[in-house]
Amino acid sequence: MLKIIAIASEDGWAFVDRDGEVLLIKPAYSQSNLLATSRASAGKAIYKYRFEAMDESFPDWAALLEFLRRRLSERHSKEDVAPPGEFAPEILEDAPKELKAKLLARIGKELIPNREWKAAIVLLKALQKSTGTPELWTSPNYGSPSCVCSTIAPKGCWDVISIAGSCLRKWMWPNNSQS
Amino acid sequence: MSVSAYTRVTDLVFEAARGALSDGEVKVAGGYADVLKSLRRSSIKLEIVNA
Repeated sequence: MLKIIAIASEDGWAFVDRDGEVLLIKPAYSQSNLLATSRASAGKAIYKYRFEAMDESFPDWAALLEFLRRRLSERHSKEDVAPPGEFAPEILEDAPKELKAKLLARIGKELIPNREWKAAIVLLKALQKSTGTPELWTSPNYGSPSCVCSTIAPKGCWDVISIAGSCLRKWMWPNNSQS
Repeated sequence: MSVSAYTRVTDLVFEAARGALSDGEVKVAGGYADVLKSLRRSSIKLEIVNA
């Protein structure tokens, strides 16, 4: 019995459990692209590389590969436009620190004064999810998001202030973060 | 990815968030995200081989 335990639909990679043995498979789905690995690697792929956890069984390799090819094809032919909130965290994940700081400054200087709350929330959430550094938020050049938001934003923008505060807590005291 | 490329993509994300891009341009930005995610995942194989 074969079971997909983790999948990345964007590029067709999958971790497959074959009677207790965990294999990593990727396109073009040939024997040479099959790599023996461990359940721990599959777990790591889910929490670190954003694979989707799955529990789908197949009677044989043909059925499993057909499923993977169909998922990959559906993903690539998808006509829907993903909202920025979905892909922004992926783009900002490894972006250079100075670019994140510039983005933060633009949120404070352009979006918040213009009351573009929705855009500010999307970008602050994306920054919150990405890897960062405390100095980004406390740099005198940019100011902290809490300061920016609480001084510029009027009443009714508590989401922005809340997210900014959460970012600050997370990056200043990562070990005590609740988010 | 180079800093200049990241700059362009980050600007795209900013404009996409404020709704200033066409659907086609937003799809391009989303495509960059998929590419970056895929590149990040390619390190899995190295980790497994080196384990």
